Amino acid sequence: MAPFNLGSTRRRLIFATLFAIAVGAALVSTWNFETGLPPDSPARNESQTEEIPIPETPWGRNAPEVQRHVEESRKSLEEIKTRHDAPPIALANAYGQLGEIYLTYDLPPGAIACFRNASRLDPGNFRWPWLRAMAHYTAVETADAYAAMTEALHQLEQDYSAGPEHHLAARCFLGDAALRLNMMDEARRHFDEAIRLNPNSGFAHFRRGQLESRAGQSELSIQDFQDAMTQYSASGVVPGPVCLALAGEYQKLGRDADAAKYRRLAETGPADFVVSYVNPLMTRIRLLNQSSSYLRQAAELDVSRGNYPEALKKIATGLRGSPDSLKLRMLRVDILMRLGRTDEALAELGEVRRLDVHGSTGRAQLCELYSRNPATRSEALAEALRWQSEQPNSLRPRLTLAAIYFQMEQYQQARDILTTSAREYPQELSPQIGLATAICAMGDYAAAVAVYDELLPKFPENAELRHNLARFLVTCPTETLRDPARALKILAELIAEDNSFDLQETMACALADAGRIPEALALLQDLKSQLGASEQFFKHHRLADLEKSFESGLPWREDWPFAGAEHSRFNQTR
Amino acid sequence: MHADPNIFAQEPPGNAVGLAVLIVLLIGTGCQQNSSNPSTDVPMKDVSTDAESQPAKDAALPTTNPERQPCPFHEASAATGLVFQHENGMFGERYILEIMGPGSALFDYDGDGDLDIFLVQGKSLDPTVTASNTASPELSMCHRLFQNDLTTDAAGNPVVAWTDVTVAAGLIFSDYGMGVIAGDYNNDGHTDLYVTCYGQDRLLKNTGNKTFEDITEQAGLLAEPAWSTSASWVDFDRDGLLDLFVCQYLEWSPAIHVPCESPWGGLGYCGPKSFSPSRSRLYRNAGGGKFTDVSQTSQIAGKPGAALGVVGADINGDGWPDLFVANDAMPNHLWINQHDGTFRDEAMIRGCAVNGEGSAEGNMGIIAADFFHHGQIDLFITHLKSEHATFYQNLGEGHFVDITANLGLDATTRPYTGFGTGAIDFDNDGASDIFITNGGVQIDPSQEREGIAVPLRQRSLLFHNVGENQPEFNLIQGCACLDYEETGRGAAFGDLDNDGDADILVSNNHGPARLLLNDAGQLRHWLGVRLIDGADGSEYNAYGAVAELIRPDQPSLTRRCATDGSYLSSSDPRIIFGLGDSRETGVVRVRWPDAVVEEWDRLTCDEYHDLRKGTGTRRNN
Repeated sequence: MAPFNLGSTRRRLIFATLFAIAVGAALVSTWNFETGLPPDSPARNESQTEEIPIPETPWGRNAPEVQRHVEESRKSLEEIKTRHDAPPIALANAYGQLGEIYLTYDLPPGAIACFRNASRLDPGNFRWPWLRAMAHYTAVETADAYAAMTEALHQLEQDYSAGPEHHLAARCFLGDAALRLNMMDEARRHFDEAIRLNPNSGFAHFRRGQLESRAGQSELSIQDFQDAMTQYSASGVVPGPVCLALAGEYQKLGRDADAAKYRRLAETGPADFVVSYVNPLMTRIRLLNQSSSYLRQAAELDVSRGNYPEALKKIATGLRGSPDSLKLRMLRVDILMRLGRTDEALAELGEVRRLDVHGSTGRAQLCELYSRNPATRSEALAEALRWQSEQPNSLRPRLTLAAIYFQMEQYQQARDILTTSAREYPQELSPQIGLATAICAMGDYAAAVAVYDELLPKFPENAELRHNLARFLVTCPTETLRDPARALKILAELIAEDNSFDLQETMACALADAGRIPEALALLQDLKSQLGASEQFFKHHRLADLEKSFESGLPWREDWPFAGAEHSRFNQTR
Repeated sequence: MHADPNIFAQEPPGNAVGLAVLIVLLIGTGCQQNSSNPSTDVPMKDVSTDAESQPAKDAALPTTNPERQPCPFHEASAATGLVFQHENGMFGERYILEIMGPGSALFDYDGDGDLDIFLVQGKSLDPTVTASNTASPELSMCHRLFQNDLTTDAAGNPVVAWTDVTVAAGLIFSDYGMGVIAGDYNNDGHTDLYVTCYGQDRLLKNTGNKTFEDITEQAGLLAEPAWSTSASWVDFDRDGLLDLFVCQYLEWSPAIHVPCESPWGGLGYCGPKSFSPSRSRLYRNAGGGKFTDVSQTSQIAGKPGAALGVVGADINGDGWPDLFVANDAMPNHLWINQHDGTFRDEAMIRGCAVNGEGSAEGNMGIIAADFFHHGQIDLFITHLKSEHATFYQNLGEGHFVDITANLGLDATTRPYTGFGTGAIDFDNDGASDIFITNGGVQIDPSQEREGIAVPLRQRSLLFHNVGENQPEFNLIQGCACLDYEETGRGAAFGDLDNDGDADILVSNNHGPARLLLNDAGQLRHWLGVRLIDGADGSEYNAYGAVAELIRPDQPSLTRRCATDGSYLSSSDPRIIFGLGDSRETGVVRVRWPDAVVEEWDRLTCDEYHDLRKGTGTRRNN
């Protein structure tokens, strides 16, 4: 080994490293001073060398799949612990992985212990205190969460694997937690830094604006809210909460016209807009969750995106852990029905009925599936009649029975049931729309329009009702009742609120009925390009039928709204 | 939303409430005030004395300036003879219904000048038990009426004692009750009750001879059985008769019950998103003891909402009563009165539909009170654990901004699921304080493992408002009868011992009613007023009137004459102004529901005054 030489490059490196460590230690001290946390706060207690025991989880009566998942991960940890040659970093990772599993199931005590142990073994890794902060936050321990994230922030500033997104998220988290803890100066400092890191952070601008509002600094507050507005609007969304915050500040200044302007603007934004920021470490944690409730929610999201194969996979995983989950099974039924896999749906419904003998789960779907096939319609009818006799005052069995009569083309029976239901449940729209449909089916189109016109003032904001009326006005077989101009107006209003596939399809029908066939065809092409390969098969069929009709220069006709290909008595003759 | 030829009823969208579960280990000692607990299942616990049982660390945050002062309340239910055990009807299915009730009413049923108590009861949800009990319900399974036999001791101190007068009052009804609201629908001077139920609600007419008569059918209030929760008597058309708003919660029945997973995958309680929200009901008082359902024509039924709380008050300051409705896991509704019998929901544009970040929360109990001494109604809503209770400041004309964090109410309320809540000036210093009774909606595994029948227990919260001109709240800590954990739901507020301060009645789910008597308020000066309308012999509370206390060099105090708000409960309509250490009573200005304004001065402090409409000095509006 070469003698220690102060002049060598290697020695300069060692010196630089030692200097960096010393500066780092000084920073730690400064940082804790800056947080203003009490001396016994968890942030100062991370120097423990002893292993922190993981608390036992009180599993309650039923949590088999979660318990199994946790225990498997815990077993992996114990295996690594028995390997005396395992490096500390491996053990830290095993603790971290177990902690993540606790965290994904909202079990913060176990998660906190694991992340503390991971920090003990891998003290420079910002991820462990970060995740511990999330666990504390889940446990509604905001002060502890703040302390842990402060520690993470310090560590990630020395960790070159951390990206700017981590710095920004840590600052947003700390600012938010400080605001909740009523630590306004600290909150201000973190949001200032977040904005310095990323001047386009809508969240930081919004939250800082709230701080300034509280301090009576309306002009500054308005500037920050405007900046937040600009950032969120850039993605094409009207951020309602930001609009309302701006309106509030303008009202305080007596600028009522500006306040009113932003209130009106807020009304045009999506009702579910939430001011938030991206937490890069939590995205992966959520994916670890294998509980049936989480998997069902994830599968529902897949369904909303039309990704049925992925949804079915998640459901299968969930059912392995919770075979009695009726909600998972009913979601599977729904998907199978959408995919036209009727036999499998029927088999699944059989299992649902076995699990819920005395309840109603799956009964409507069972009846619907039976009624789709003429060979089994008598079974559908028998089941629906049985259900109705068991629950004579319930609306659902009645609607189901009416729907079966529809399938059997026994419209008078359906109409009778729906007339009674509409009278007894005047606030429910479904029997009323059903009644209008039954009247159409019996050929009394003028009476049907009268029903729709009667319902509109009672349910002025109901989009389904307006859509049905618009559809009827452009597809009705009776020429004197068709009114494409009125329908186009209704549809334009509806599409401004919700540009859904079905509304656009009806718009194509309206354009065609108004003689604007090329525009209708162009819209159909656009719709076809929107449909994914796994989308509902009947949508493909419906578009194909419409296209065929329009290409022949003929508008579309239906016996009742959305009778479509299944009941195209008129269109089949073309 | 799309038009669909399929009119088959769909299964409700599945979505179990994904609540974080706080592990709370509870090992406590008995509350010193409660020597005879009526329920062996529900022992009162003082967790504040046990290091292992800290319910949540945020409750002890340095930022909240916890006050360790003598407890301003003591628990006195059993000691005063108020023995009642709520039955939630559970039998293992974990119906969402069983964890939502009950409420109670504080009202003077016999006109003797002190508040009596009506407690709402549930019943078994097990079909076999229900069938056997319907014909002749046992008293323990009925709503109960307790008469206040208020006396004074030798030293002149008030002594509260309760007599169960349920049978004598003709109140042997077995419902699955949820809440109750008191009001005088026929202006005869005798306070009536509307009991909300899962099933058919009841209008109970006070006959004036200490009995009640069920007049639901003859009043035209028979309706399709549903799930009613909170209600409000409010004269929305200003015709001098109280109309009735009834919150409807969910389209739920045992037949459509679907087992819901807990956040861990086991059997838990469903959240509201598992079922369709209902449409609330508005009944117009047509006079002659008849009501007309105007839900449709008023537009109230136009928007469904899982409604749990309601306040009928003039929110936008135009002189007409509006309706604020707290919806569970959905945006709230603020129905602005259009002066023509219709309402328009403006909650979203007025900033009180969702919280300041844009999140629709689990809205439950409501306070509608003036916290800023600005003559406007601010709103405070209780929410689920991991959300925070939300304080909406009224910026003027009914436009709101969420300032929860600014008031120190964010981190302190997040660990709890709040239900009943009220603005009471418990120490009569002139500033409205906040009480919240809490209880979870997702099973606490630790409590379940301990064998607690309803493992949803949480402590109560009392925030002391120490602000001068604007509110500033400190959490009161170390008070045994606030710290003990039960499954709190309803909370009613009123001066039960007529000593000039607000007492609290907490209704626990599947547990005892708790009476918290105030020991602090009577140590300061106060001024009590009862706002009265009507002719001699049939004088009645002027619900909807607003009283303002104006004193030189002091912020004015504005209070409503109302029984609504909180959760499922009905409070004392009398108004108490806390005067602090001053005996100065200044001027009391009353704005009556018909917009007439009158003033009274030279009222003596430390006593109640009846302010009759037409006897004050008239002022221009």
